[in-house]
Amino acid sequence: MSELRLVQLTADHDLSGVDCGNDELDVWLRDHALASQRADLARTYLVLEEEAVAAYVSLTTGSVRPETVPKRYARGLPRYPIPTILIARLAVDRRHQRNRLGSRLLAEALRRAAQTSDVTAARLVVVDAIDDDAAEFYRRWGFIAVPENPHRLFRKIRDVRQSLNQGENG
Amino acid sequence: MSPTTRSQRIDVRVTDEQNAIIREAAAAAGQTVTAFLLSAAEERARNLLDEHRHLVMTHATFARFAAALEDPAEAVPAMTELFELPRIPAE
Repeated sequence: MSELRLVQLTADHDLSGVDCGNDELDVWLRDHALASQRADLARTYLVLEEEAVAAYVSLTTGSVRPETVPKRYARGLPRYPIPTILIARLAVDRRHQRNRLGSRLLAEALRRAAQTSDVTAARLVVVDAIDDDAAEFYRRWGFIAVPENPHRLFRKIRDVRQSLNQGENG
Repeated sequence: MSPTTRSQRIDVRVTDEQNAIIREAAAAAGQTVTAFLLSAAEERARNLLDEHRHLVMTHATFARFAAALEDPAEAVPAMTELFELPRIPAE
């Protein structure tokens, strides 16, 4: 395997050969990732091996919030949305699916999430698991499912930062 | 009114060529022109906006969830291991 490098998506990247074994993830990268980025709705990072896409991850912001209810019922209830950084998609090309590349890319995404929260407030990292296997992958690395949704998992940014400090100094 | 009631209009003008190609594609997909335009536009909108960005909970669930976040921060052993994996160099 030749050297891998992490870059932010640009119009110059060739996305046509990507095959993550999931059409939804392939189509989103090919057809929507650049438009989302240009509209400042998501940032996508590619792992390249030479010029081929080995993996990608897209980051955006979001929130966890309570449903809206009529004012007269809402008194005394917590109402403020919790700002989040969302790892919306993380996918690895079939040719790289045994090299822990997904885990390494998750680590890079979490480093960026921690940096982002140094600059602007975000309380949680939320991940969007596309299926049961993906949810298991995130649980394996310490994420916890949100109530009533096994495919959305989270961790406090503070926990991520503490884990990062220990992992890099350990 | 139910949120699924189609009570709003979007008016769009198209060229002859756009009209022809859209009608042909809708026919090929076995859809009416309206259904075809709506499904295409909605798919693109949802993909662009990442529709799942905001996670909405009932008040009771949200209150419990928010309270649990007050626990002191802790290093997560599994996540600490994750950060020990080899870095991917950034360009």
